[in-house]
Amino acid sequence: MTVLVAGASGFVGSRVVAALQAREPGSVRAGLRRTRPDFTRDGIHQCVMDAADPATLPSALAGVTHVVNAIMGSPAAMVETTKNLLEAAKIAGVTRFVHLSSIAVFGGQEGLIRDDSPYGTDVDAYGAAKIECEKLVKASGLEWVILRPALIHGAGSDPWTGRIGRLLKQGRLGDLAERGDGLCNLVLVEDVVAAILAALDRPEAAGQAFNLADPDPVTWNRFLMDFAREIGATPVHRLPGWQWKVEKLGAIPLKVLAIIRDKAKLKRLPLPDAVTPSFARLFAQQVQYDPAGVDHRLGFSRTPYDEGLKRATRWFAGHR
Amino acid sequence: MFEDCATASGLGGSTLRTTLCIVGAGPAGISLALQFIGTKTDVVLVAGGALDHETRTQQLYAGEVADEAMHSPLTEYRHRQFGGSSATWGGRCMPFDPIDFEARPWIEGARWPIAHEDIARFYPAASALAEIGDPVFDAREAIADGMREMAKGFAPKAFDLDRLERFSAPTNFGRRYGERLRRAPNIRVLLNAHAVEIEREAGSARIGRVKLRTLEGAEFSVAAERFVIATGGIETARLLLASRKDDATGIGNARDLVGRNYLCHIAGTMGRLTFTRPAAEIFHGYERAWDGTYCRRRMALRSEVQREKGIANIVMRLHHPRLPDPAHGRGILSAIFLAKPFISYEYSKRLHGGDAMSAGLVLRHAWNVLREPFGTAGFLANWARRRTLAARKFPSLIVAPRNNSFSLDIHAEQVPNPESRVTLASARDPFGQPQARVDWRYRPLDLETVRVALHALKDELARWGGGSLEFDEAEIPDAMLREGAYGGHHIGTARMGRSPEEGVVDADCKVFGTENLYLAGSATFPTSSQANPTLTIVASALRLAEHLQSRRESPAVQTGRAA
Ligand SMILES: Cc1cc2nc3c(=O)[nH]c(=O)nc-3n(C[C@H](O)[C@H](O)[C@H](O)COP(=O)(O)OP(=O)(O)OC[C@H]3O[C@@H](n4cnc5c(N)ncnc54)[C@H](O)[C@@H]3O)c2cc1C
Repeated sequence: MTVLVAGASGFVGSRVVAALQAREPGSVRAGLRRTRPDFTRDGIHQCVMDAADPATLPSALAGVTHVVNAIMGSPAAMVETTKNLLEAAKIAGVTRFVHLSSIAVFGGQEGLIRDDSPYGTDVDAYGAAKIECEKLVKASGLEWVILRPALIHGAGSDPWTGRIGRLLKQGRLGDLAERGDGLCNLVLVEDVVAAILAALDRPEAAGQAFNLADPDPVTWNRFLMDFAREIGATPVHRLPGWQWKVEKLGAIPLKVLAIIRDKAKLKRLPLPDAVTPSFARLFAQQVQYDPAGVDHRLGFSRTPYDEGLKRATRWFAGHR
Repeated sequence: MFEDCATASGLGGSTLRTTLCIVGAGPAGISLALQFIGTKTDVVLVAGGALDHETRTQQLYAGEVADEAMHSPLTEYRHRQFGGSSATWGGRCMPFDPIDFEARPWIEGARWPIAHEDIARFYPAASALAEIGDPVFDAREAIADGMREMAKGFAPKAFDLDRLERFSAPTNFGRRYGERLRRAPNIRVLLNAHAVEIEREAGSARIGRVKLRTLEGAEFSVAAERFVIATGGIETARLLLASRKDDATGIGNARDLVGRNYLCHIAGTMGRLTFTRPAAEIFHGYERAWDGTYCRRRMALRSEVQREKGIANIVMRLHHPRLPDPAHGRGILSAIFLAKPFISYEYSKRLHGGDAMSAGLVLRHAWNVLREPFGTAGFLANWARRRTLAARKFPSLIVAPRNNSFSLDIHAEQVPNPESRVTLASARDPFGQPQARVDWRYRPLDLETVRVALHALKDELARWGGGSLEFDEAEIPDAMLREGAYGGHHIGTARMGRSPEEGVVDADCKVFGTENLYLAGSATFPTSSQANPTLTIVASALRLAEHLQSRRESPAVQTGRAA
C-alpha cells in the first residue's frame, strides 16, 4: 500500500502521515505545498503539490494505491481541490480514496443521526461545501470511504482544546447551566487518525460514510466542568444570563476585526476568542451520532473519555 | 412539551389520558418527571401555576393561620408556579443523618419504615440535580487543599465541625429543567392547571382521575394508571383532605393522620460566643469547591450526645450579631437593616426580626453606616459582584464581628407532634375548595434540645479555653420562637409508616388504602432532621421514580386525549 496524504501539513493530515510512517516506513507520501523540516528530518517522502493546480498532481500520484484527502480550506477551495484530486486519482489507478468530511453536513439537526441520515437543510457555507465534496466523491467511480469527524479535540486542536481552554481560564465558559445541556460530540484527534488508518485497511468500509464522534457523549456542562478542573480553571465559573448577552454583542466587533485582519493578510495578529451565537448554540444542541456503523466496519479502539481529557490537558498546558 | 391551559381551547369537560400523572412541579415533581424522559411511559405533569410568579395564581395558596405570631401567612414561603418554591429558595443543602431514620424511643413518633441507606443512595443523583457539586459533605474531603478550620485547635467531642452544608446555585428547577421537559415527546406539562380533587374509581381502591380547573373557568380531568401528588407539604395534605367525594374525611385519611405532625424547624439566633484567640484563627465564611459550589462548616451535635441526653437533632453556625441591635457597630449590618423595605418578606423576616423601626433606631444604624463608609461601600460592591451579578450566588451575609464575638445561628429538628396540624378552613378558594388552615405547635422537647446543645457547646469551649459562650436560658423560647416556625420547610403531613396506623403512605410512598396513589415530597417525612429538606425531597423523588419504573404494568388506560 502506498498512500498519498493530501493536505499533509494540516492538523489531521500531518498526524496521519506520522502514523502511517510509524506503521510502515516508506509507505506514505506527504502531499503538501511546501516541504516541512520535521518531515524531512523524519525521512518522510514528501511530494510538493497543489491540489488547486491539476498539473502538479500526476507526479504526486504516480505509484500511489490509496489517497487520503485531508485538505482544509475555504468552501470553494475544498470543492475545487476535491474535484482535481478525484480526477487525477482515477487516472493514476488509485484503488481507494478516503475522504475527510465533517458532521457539518448535518447542519443543526437534532436527535440520533445515523451514517446514512439525510444531509441537513440548514447548513452553513462550510457544510454546503462538504456536502458538495461528498457528492463528488460518491460519483467519482473510485472506491471510496467518507469519514465525518465531529469536533476534533486533543493535541493540536486550537478550536476545541486551545480555544475552549482559554475561554474557561478567562471565565467566559464554565458551568453553562441550562445552556449547556446539549451533547458534547467531541472526538479525540488520535481516534480520527486511527479511523483513517482503518478506512484505508478495511475492505468492508468501502462505499460507506462514517460519522466519528464519541459513542456515549457527555453533556457540554460535564465536559466543560471536567476540562476546567483538569486545566485548573477553578472554581468553575457559572455563567449568568447577562454575560451571554455581552458575549453576543462583543462577537460582532470581533468578527469585523477578524475579517479586516484576514483581508490585510495579518493572520498572525492575535485576536481574542469570540463566543459567537452559533458557537453558543452548539452547547444546547441535542444531537448524537449512532456509533454502530463505525464499531462494526471500522472497529478501531477508541480512547476512553478520561484519557482523552488528560491528553487534551497535557497539550493545553504545554502549548501555552 | 408544554401546554398553557389558560389559553388552550376545548379543554372544558375533556379527560386527558396518560400513564403517569404527577401533580405539582416543584423540585419533587420535576425531578420525578425528568426520570421518565426517553422512557415509554407517558407523563402528564400538572404545574398548578405559570412559568413565573403571578399574583392571581399565588392567591390560590391563601389560607388561615391559627396563630399569626407562630406561622407566616400561607401565601408566603411557598410559590405556586412551575418550579415551585425553588423559584426563591436559598439553596442550602445537606443530607439527613442516619440517626434521623432510627427509632428513637425518647422521641414519640420518630420512626421511618426505611433506613438512611434507602435514601442516601440517591443523594449523588439528587446533588447533581440540585447543582451542589460533588456529593461530599465532609470538610476534610470537599476541597482539594482542605478547608480552613472554624476555630483553630477547637476539637469538641460533642460536636462534629467537619460536616458541611453545600449550596445550590440556587437552582430554580423550573428554569433549569423546563427545556428538557419541553423537548420530551412523552411528557406533557400543563401550565395554569390546578388539581382540585382526587377521585376513586367507583367503589374501588384505584384512583381514577384527578379533577383540574383553570382560573379561566375550564373544568377537566386527567385519568392515569398511577398518580403522584407533589404539591408541597401543606398543599398535599389539603388536596387529600379536600377529596371527599368517596371518603368523607378525605383520601388516605381513614385514621385521621393526614395533616397531623406538621413540622418545620426550630430556628433562631442567640447567645454570644466570644473567642479569645486571634481573629485570624477564626473562620465562619464560605469556601468554594472546584466546581464552584459554596461550602460551609457547621457545628453538628453528634448522635451519641443526642442519644445520651435524649434530645433531637440540631446544628449551629457562627453568625454575625443580630441585625436590629445597633450595638454591633458594623456599617454593613446597619445598611442591610435600613434596606428592609427592599428585601422580600421571606428573607427579611429572619434578618430583621420583629423589631419595629423607630426614628432613634434608624439614626443609630445610620451612624454605624457613616462611621464605616468605605467598609460598607466595599461590601456592597462585593455583594453586587458575587451575588446580584453572579449565577452561582454567594449564599448569605458573612460579616466578621468587631470584637471576635459571634452569635449562634441555630437550626434544630422539630419533633413529631400530632397536635401540630394542617386542616381545612371554612373559607374557600375561587374553585370552591376549602382553604388550608395551619395550626403549628411545638413541644417542650424542641426547646430542650436547644438548651442542652447550648450547654454542651458552652462546656466544650470552657474545656478548650479558646473562647466562651454566654447565653440566658430564659431567652431560648423567645429567640427560637420570635419568628415562629421556620418558613419554607413543610414536613410530615402525610408521613410514611409501616402500617396505616402509623402513616399515611407506606415505605414506597403509596397512600394506604389505594392501589395507585403516591406522594412525593417532605409531607412523607416522619421526622424533620436538622437538615433543610430539599436535597432529601429530591432524593426521595428519585427513589419513587425507581419504584414506579420497577414494576411495569400492562397499560389499562390508553394514551391520548379523549373528549
Ligand atoms: C424563602 C425560602 C427559602 C428556602 N430555602 C431553602 C434552603 O436553603 N434549603 C432547602 O433545602 N430548602 C429551602 N426552601 C424550601 C424549598 O423551597 C422546598 O423544600 C421545595 O421547594 C419543596 O419542593 P416540592 O417540589 O416538594 O414543593 P414546592 O416547591 O412547594 O412545589 C409545589 C408545586 O406544586 C404546585 N401545586 C401546588 N398546589 C397545586 C394544585 N392544587 N394543583 C396543581 N399543582 C399545585 C405548585 O405550583 C408547585 O409547582 C426554602 C423555601 C423558601 C420559601
